[in-house]
Amino acid sequence: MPPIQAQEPLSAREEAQLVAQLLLGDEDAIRDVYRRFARPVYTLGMRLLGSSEAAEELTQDVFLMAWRKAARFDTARGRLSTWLMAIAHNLAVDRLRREHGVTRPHLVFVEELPEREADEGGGAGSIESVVQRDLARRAMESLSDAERGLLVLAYLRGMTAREIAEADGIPLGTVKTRLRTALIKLRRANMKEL
Amino acid sequence: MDCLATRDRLTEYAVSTLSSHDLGEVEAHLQWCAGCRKEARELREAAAMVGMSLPQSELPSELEQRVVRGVRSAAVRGHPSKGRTWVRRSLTILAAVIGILGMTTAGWLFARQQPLENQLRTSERQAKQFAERLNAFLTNLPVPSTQPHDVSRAVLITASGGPGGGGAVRVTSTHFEDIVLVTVGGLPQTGAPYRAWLAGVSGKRLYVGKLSNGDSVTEREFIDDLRLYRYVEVRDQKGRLVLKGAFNTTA
Repeated sequence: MPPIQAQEPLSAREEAQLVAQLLLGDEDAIRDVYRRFARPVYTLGMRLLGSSEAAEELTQDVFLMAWRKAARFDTARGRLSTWLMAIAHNLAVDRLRREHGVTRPHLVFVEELPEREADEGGGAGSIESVVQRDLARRAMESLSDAERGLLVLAYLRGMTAREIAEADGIPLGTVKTRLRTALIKLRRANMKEL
Repeated sequence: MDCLATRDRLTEYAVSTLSSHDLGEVEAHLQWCAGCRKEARELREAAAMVGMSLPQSELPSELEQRVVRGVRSAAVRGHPSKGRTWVRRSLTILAAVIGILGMTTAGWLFARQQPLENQLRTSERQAKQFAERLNAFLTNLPVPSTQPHDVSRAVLITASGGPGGGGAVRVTSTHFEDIVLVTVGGLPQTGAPYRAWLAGVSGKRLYVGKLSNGDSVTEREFIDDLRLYRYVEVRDQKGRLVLKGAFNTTA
């Protein structure tokens, strides 16, 4: 495989090559994937789990899981970044379920982190991270305030549709429809950017 | 759960707020419904954008080395057949597993727990079906078959002194989704349908599938790492525990 420039966003084909190398346990590939995508994974861990120790464990688990499931990655189905973030969110929620012994997660979104926030341009592999984040932010900006708020309540705070409905005094079906609409708009906005 | 009920839950599936019960039902449906699976994947990827839009934290400097060491270590341990990225559906893989083990697992488990003639007949029939699937699998395999990475078995014994028994096979692999098969025999029809679950040490449970009668088999692929789930439970239609067992044998 030709060397991939660590700072440049990858095409779908390059992502497939990189994941194929990851599956083989190739050290350069592991480092490349890490440098490109570890920051959003770690950030999500910090936000959902609330400590740097837990976020570090989550990051390690995500990359291990990505290696284990690398054979299932298909670029036709989505980008490597979203695949890794889906793994990360799932693992974080699983961890919260286990730790709290409940049938669904009770997330505590850490809004004010004691940890330092990195500058947009700082840190390893930051260009890829910044590009991905920029795409995500622009996709989020395509939503209304209400839609963004709904997604934050559900994805980052772990509130069920029923809880949101009760809190806001609106019908359950309406909440579900709005959440679904918001996700579909988000996906379309992101696809348009690619 | 049908497509309508599944799609009603897919949004919450995408943001991981479903209850364990609904999650199990939805994942069971997604195993066989390509349409719902596609929608679920798209919604989940969309949800991931929310996480990616967050202001990013700085990575600890030593974390990269720990991640690299962890993956490298796992790769060295777990890749006897590097580069073979074939993916097979659960039944054919399980058939291969059973063949590789050199035994008719389901039949053996049934026979161990249920030495009644009719149940042995069931065992033999299932063993034959597995053998046929194995042959089909080996015929179509592009590369020589290799032993899956981890195969564990569990014998299920009655939890309350009632009749019946069963067994389970768990396959974890880097090449395909983790798989579990649960088989039961001799359970009273009055308790049907039965449902099989995996349980972790922490108490987390994963729904495997429905057992329509007292002599049935169910199997399922999981994205989850099944090594975290050591126990198997079979519950009757009222949710009462009827069979239980633990994975403890690596083949």
